[in-house]
Amino acid sequence: MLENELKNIWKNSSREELVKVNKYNLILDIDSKLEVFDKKIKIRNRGVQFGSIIFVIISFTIVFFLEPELLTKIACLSSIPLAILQLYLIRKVKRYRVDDYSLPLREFLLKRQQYLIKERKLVDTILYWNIPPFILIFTLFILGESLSGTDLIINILLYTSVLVLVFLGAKRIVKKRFDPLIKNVEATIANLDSAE
Amino acid sequence: MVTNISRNKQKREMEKVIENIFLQTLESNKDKIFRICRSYSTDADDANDLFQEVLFNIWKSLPSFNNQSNIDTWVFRITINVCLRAKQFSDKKQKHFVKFDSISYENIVETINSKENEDKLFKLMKCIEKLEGAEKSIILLYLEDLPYKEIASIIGMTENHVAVKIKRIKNKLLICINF
Repeated sequence: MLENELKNIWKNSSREELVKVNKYNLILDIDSKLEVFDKKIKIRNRGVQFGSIIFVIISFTIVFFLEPELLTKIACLSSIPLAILQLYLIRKVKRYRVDDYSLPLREFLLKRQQYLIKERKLVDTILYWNIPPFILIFTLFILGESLSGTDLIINILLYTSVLVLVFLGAKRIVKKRFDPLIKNVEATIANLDSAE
Repeated sequence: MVTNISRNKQKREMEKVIENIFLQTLESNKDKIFRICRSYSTDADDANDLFQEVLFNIWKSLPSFNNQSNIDTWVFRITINVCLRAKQFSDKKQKHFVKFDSISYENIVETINSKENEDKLFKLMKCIEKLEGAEKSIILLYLEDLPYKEIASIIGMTENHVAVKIKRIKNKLLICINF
């Protein structure tokens, strides 16, 4: 098959299916979808990030005033900067997100690779930035509440299970989501760069 | 007050200009965009969704278009980037495409292509499907008759590099088709 023949077959292929665009309604249609889309993004970002911060601040402030024990009060106060730190770390990584689709493909892929690697690192290192502060706060709570016997065991088991689930969940996300995506992007870049 | 009115008028005029650019660009490129989307899709519905997602992203990015490149080149950059990104998520069921009622697709029963051409097209599609992500993007732009310079600008490589790649991919494709 000759090159020109290839091109002709390719170009004629869309004649079997015509894209019909109602120009007058399209702009209205897109504008309304864009508005809904922007709203959803705003709600999601603010909801998840600020919602959790407000929840942590309000709930721990209440516990702070209700609990007489000093160690429990310290634990409550420590939770607030921890929540803010976590929000900061997440937002720091999200800054690398690539929303500009008008970049040349190679640049787009390189930026996307950088973003995915940073996001992967954040999730993969949850053992260092999320779990130790959580253990410290939990220990202060236990000491403040002077728990003992069955209560102590139940609490330790409960919190340990949560921590193990968070850790395993993070590892699973890294393996199932990030690694294949990063590998795919890397392969595409390598394919572009290769002279073969 | 007067300033506000003139500012609103200017804004409306600007929006009108953007609308016109969008509709003109869409009119001259819709078939090409659709063919590229179809190559990155698993079925017809998927292709339609991807096509609408591309249009949505073009419209969203249009106010930031700065005339540094040709509008068609810019549109193809968005098309290729959106398609490749969607492809990366294709097995993950993470696609959340927008849908527009103002776009419809019509199947023509009396097909212009002969049976022989249909077979050739089927073979061509199958062989394109086998290409790696970046190779597929380059050959699709080539089949759309885009000059090497424009392909280089869309992909972000030198013109020479693009020429070498196209030669290799074309050979691969011709061997696959004639096999």
